[in-house]
Amino acid sequence: MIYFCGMSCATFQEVFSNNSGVVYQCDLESCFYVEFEGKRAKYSVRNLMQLKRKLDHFKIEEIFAVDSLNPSGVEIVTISTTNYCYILNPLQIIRFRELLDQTFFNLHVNQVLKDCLQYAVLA
Amino acid sequence: MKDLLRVKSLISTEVESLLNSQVKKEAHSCAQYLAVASWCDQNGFDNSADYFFKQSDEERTHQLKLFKYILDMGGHAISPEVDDIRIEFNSFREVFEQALEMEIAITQSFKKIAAACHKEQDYVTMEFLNWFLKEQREEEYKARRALELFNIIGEEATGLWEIDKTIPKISYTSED
Repeated sequence: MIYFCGMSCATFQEVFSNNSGVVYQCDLESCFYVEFEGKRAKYSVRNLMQLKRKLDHFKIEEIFAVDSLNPSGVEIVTISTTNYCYILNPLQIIRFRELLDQTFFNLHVNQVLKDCLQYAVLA
Repeated sequence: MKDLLRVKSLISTEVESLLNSQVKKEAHSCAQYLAVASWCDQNGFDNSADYFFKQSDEERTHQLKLFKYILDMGGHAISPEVDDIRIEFNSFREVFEQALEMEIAITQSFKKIAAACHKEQDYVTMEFLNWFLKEQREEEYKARRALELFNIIGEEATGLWEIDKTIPKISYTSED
């Protein structure tokens, strides 16, 4: 049984999960709960997209370049209007990307299914 | 499960990304035309300089139109960085050759967005894009006509002066 903010799992649906984490959608609050490597954060659609954009923006190959400006490879990710902050190494960046890539893929599948089932019936 | 992506925005992330790329391209065109206007002015082609100032303004208007559309549809419009602006040209003719190349690239880019809209059945954005597609007819026409003046008038003697004088007269009157 999953409980977030005192609400039961009835309002939460798992969008995607893997070894690194899990993403739930909360219909009641119209938001997402992201658990990544033990850390839980609540995001609006806009913030989740912003997080994905920031993660996609990192060029992993540049981190490993000989003349890298960031030899430690550690990146700090913050999302405006939230208090969340991630300090990620390259492997974590790749894992986080995978989690969000699959999450958005599933959200798009949901969109397509909704289009086909709901709106087709209405038409 | 609610479709939260759709609730937030009318346009898909792919179309949003393509539109943001187009915002960047329009911003680049705006800055490039301004650089061209500067070159024309410095080299004594006053009429062409004015022509390119107007072109730059038009590109800015296009950029804002796209930018506002993304926002109105619930998307995230990104104010772009503009770089790689060419400021030196070998000849007056080269200026117009580049202008045509830029317009062709913009048309191709809009065609790519239109294709994505058709694929996604995003007819709302497609309808919005129709204005730009029509606009490109004019933009390419004007750029091509300007370049043709170099062959018609010729660059010898007072040719360049004549071409500069004729540039502002180029206009496109379509039958819609």
